[in-house]
Amino acid sequence: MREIVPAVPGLDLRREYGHHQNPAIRAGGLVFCSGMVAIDPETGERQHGTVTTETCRIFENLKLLLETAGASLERLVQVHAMIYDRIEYDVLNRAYRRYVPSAPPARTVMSVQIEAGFKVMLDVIAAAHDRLDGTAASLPRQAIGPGDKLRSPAIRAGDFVFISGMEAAEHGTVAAETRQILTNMAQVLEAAGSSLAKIVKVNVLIYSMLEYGNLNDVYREFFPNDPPARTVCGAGLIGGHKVEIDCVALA
Amino acid sequence: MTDQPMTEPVARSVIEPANPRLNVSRNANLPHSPGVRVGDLIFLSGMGPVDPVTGGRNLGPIAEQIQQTLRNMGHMLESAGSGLERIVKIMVVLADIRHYDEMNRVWREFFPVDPPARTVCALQLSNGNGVEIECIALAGKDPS
Repeated sequence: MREIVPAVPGLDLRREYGHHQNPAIRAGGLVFCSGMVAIDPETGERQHGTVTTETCRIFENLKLLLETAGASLERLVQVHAMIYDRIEYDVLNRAYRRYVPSAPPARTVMSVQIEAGFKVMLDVIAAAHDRLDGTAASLPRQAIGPGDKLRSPAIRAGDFVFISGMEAAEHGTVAAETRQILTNMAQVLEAAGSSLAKIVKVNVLIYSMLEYGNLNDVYREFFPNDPPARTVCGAGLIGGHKVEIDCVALA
Repeated sequence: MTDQPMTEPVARSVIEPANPRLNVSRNANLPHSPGVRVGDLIFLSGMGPVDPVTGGRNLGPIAEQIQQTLRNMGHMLESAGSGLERIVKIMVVLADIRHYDEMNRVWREFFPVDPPARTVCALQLSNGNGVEIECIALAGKDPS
C-alpha cells in the first residue's frame, strides 16, 4: 500500500512554494521522506541560516514528520545528507550527532547545489513502528557492525539492508578506489547476511564524470549477472576521495 | 501488503522496458540494470532524456528533457506492472539548480494528485544530460 503521510501544514512545501511533492510517503513498512530543508513548521517560512542552525531545524521538523508517519528519529534507516560546500563537513557532523540515535542510520554525505540558497538538505528513509492509525506494526531495525556516533556501516530494516557511503581507505585511481570499495562492501554485506549479488540499488559519486568509463570497467567485474539498478553522479565528494558508493540490498 | 515483517523469502528480479531502445544500459553496455524489483518495491536506475524512437538523447530545453525522462520512467514502470502514480520516492538530479521552477511546472502535469516524496539537488551529470531521475515505486496493483 502507498500511503500519504499527513504532515503539519508548514512542512508541506506545496502550500507556500508550489513544490509539487508530498512531505512523506509510506510503503512496505518504510517511510520515504522528501528532501527536507530548514522551514518553520508552523508558518512554512524559510529559515536560512548556518549549517548548524539549518541542520537543527531540519531534525526538529523531521521529528514532527516522522511522528505523524508512525516512526521517529530513533528509527532512521538511511540518510543522504547534502551540504552546499564540503568545507562545512565537520560543522554538519557536530549538529548531526546530537540528533541521531546511538546506533545511527546508514549515511552518505554529499556536496550539492540546493534550491533557494539553503545550505543543508536531508533525504531520509525510516522504519515505521506504528501504522498511520497508531496501531503497532514494528519493522525490525538493527545496526550491523561497529559504527561511530555519525553512522553505522549497515542498517537492516525488514527485508532490506542499507549500507553507508563507502570510500577507499587509500587514495588512488578511480579504478583502484572502486575495487577497494566494492571488495569491502562485499564484506559489510556478508556481515549483514547479504551479498553483492543481492544488491538492489547502488548510488555512486565520482569526482569527475570524465572517469565514468574507468568506474564501469572495474564495477562490471563485481556484478557479472543481473547488476543492480544504479545512479552515478559527478563531484560532491568529501575528503579528497575519487569515488564513494552506497547501496540498498536484500537481506 | 501489511506492515508486518514478511517471513517468506523475497525474490530479486531485473526489470526491463518493453521498448528495447529505452534499455540504455544494455544498448551502451553499461554495468547496471534498468531496474530491480524486490518484494513489493521497484528501484529504478537514474534515467535521462532518451528518445524512444531513435534511442539517442534529447538534449533540448530542460522542460522537454524532464517530460521525456518522466515518460520513459512511466514506460519502464508500466513494463513491470506499475506506473508513475505508484511512485513512492523520486530523486531528481539537475545539472543546474536554476531549473527548479521549470521542473515543478512539469511535475504538476505528470503528478496531478498525491505526488511522490521528492528530493532535488544539482550535480555534474553524464552525457550532457540536463536532468537525471531515479525512483522507488510500489510494484503491481493493490489487492484492495
